[in-house]
Amino acid sequence: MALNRKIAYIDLTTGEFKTAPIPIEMRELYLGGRGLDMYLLYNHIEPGVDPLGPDNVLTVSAGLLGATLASASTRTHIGAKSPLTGFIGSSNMGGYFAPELRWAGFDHLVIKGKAESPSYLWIHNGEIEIRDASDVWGENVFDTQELIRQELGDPEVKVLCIGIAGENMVRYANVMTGMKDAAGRSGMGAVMGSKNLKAIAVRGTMDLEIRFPEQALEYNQSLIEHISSTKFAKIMQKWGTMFIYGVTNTTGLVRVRNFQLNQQVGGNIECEHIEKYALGTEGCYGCIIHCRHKYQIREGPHAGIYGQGPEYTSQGAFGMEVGCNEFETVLVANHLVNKYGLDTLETGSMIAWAMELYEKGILTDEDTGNLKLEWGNDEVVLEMIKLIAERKGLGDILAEGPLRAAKKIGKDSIKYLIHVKGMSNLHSDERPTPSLALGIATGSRGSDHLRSRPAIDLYHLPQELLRKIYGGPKPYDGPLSSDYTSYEGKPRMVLWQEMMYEAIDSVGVCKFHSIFLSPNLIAFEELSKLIYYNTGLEFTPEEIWDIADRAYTIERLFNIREGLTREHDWLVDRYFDEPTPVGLPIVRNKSIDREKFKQMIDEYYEMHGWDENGVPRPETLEKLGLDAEPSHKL
Amino acid sequence: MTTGTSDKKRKRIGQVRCQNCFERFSPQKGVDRTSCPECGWEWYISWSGELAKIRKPVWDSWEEHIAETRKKTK
Amino acid sequence: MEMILVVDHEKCTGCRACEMVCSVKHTGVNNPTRSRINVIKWPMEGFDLPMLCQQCEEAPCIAVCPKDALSQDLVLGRVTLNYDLCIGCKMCVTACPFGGMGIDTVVQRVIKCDLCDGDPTCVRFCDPGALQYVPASTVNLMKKRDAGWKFSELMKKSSLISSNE
Repeated sequence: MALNRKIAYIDLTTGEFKTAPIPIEMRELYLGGRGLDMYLLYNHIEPGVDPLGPDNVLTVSAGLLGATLASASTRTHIGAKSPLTGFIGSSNMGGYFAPELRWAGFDHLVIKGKAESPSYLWIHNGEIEIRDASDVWGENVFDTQELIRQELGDPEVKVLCIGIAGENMVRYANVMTGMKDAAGRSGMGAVMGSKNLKAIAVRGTMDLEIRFPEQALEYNQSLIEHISSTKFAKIMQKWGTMFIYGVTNTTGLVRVRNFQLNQQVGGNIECEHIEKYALGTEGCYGCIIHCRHKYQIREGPHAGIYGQGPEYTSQGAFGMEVGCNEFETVLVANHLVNKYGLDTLETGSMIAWAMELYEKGILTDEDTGNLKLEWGNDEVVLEMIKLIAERKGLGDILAEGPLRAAKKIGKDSIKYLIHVKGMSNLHSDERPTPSLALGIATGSRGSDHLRSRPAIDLYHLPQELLRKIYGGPKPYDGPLSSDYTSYEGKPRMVLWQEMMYEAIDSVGVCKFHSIFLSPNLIAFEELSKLIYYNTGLEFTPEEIWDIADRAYTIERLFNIREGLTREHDWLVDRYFDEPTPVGLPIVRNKSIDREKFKQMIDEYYEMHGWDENGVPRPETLEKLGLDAEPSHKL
Repeated sequence: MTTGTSDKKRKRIGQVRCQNCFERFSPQKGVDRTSCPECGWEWYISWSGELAKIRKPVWDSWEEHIAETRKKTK
Repeated sequence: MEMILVVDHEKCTGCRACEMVCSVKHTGVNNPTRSRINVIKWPMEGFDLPMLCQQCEEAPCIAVCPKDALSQDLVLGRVTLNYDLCIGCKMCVTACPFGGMGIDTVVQRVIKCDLCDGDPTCVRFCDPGALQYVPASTVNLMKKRDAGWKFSELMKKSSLISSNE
């Protein structure tokens, strides 16, 4: 059945590997994907190891529902200790890799050590081989995949690889598969680079059994009919995540010019511009939303570029943040970061930060190698992307990530950083929205919108609907507010989303099918059915919540073991001291209130069963069965 | 083919939601610029088939609207 | 009324849901190599094309089958495979110009699209509408309509231009 997939432990130093079945008990505790990865990281990584040293452990996994009849059951999760934050590193991506990994017989890969020379892993139908990658070392993301497919002689091989940014250990290098599927956040590409691991290639033709095929088909059909009838799906299918820009920019919830403005007036980067370049849309495995555009630039200096995307994140990183008003810059920059294997968000934020430093005179022409780091200077932005990937000039400093770069540049540079735990924020402005601010401040992998963001808080949903969503599956009768500028009841929303995202990442289904950007999509109830029909495992919605809670708490334990304190769950001063200057009246002149924010964090810790320092209480650990961790069962 | 859309949802298809006052309204089919009947803010509209979407604000009248709203709230 | 399964590659997003449901429907497991339909992808060019048995009128597979296991089913407009007669010689696999005949390596026999006896599962799950099951007599009307729509749009534009001049 769908559960007979194995875990493989691979030691790159010795070239040895062993495989083991994943016991049902572990599935019942962590499901799979991100959840089980978190257990593995907590058990296999010694405290205090160098993230870029051979002792760091890299996990690659497919979710419990990977390649089953759950729409978009396609996410690949990658974990390690993050070279960017020093805390938990975790990132997932779409595409076709995870299903292929399952057909090859594996759900989890635990990769240790460091290969002597550039290598790649070749995994096929239960077999693992470490192969020489010196031919593809130095190649970009797109060519690497094609070259490996050619070498192995099978066009259906799926390749997950790093680009030159990963090879150069840029601390926010990503891991990629396909044209644009990227596990971007927390620097997983740098970890692969530090292990001399250029790529992982998989091909499998093994059966993946569906427990109740008839019911699973029927349920899946009713589910996709429901999903595709929502307006959210229709908009995503047409515009992709770029549609978000229209709402957030109009309202004034975006970050422009590092943190100087919260609205881009006169920008020409709204999603409608894609029509000029689009060749159609592309879907991930089994997904009906197909949110990514295929685009081609047909004329001008960048003619001939073919790429996929861009996402809202790229619009922000290379549009608003750096003050570029032209859509084509976003397309070219998106193509470049994918080619080099850089995290689009972190790259854009670092360049924007450098631009503000240049404006303030902290960086001079001498530091930048005569690059005019001025707002909206498109060419310089594109040049900087290359310099960061190649670690040349100023790029070498920026490649170190926010905190390390600020230390190197010195002066007042740290004051202008927009980060949490050493990871840059999404280009959204959370000053008017306490719920979103709480989410980024407490996210386990650093500042992050995909850990706990209650994005539907922005929709002014009626109380009854909020109650219906956030009132279960674990009972909650505290306050809930439709007003996104309020501090009331927001910790519950953040907690609920945290559990939702942990669960959906653990089963390996895309968040766009869950309650993230639309209140009408799947949640715990539907997950419970999907898991039952596809795998035969029975979980009530409450039990899924508990599993998510367990996995999230183990992430917390990992972070605490690496030195996390309450101070890390906090925003930079600019959130409190600089009110928003522009936008709709409802978001103007807003900043986060320190006292109220502190209370929110207290409330949030309390809901988790953590003490006032954010450390899980002994009884919480006991309740979740974590009191004996690390237990080394896998 | 595979999708059945309920009447309630179908009604929403040609609608947009004013991003200033959150009022739902149906712009006239095919127009590329309209104003919200409730609060009067002006928007560019884009279409894909029957689906309408607010493209962006009419920035020229932006500050004017803000000033008016301020007056009203004061 | 004879129906045919048509592929519109322009609508295909390459998501392979058709492979998934085909495999599950016929075998109870998800294994794309046992699916009767396969999406051929060129991931770096972004081109996707679903390929399956075309249910030929003058089918090479029927012609080469030494045991008459393959035959025309005029009611459903398909080429049917009778496993009671099939000896597994795989001549049909060699003869098919599209790869419409495949080999299921688990049960060791040839496989082909059977249109799910008149209700193709892949069509039900193809949300973008790249796969459609339509009456054979009107299949070209759909294409005419699509082409005609583009033409009419062009005419509207050109008449606008001339009236403005």
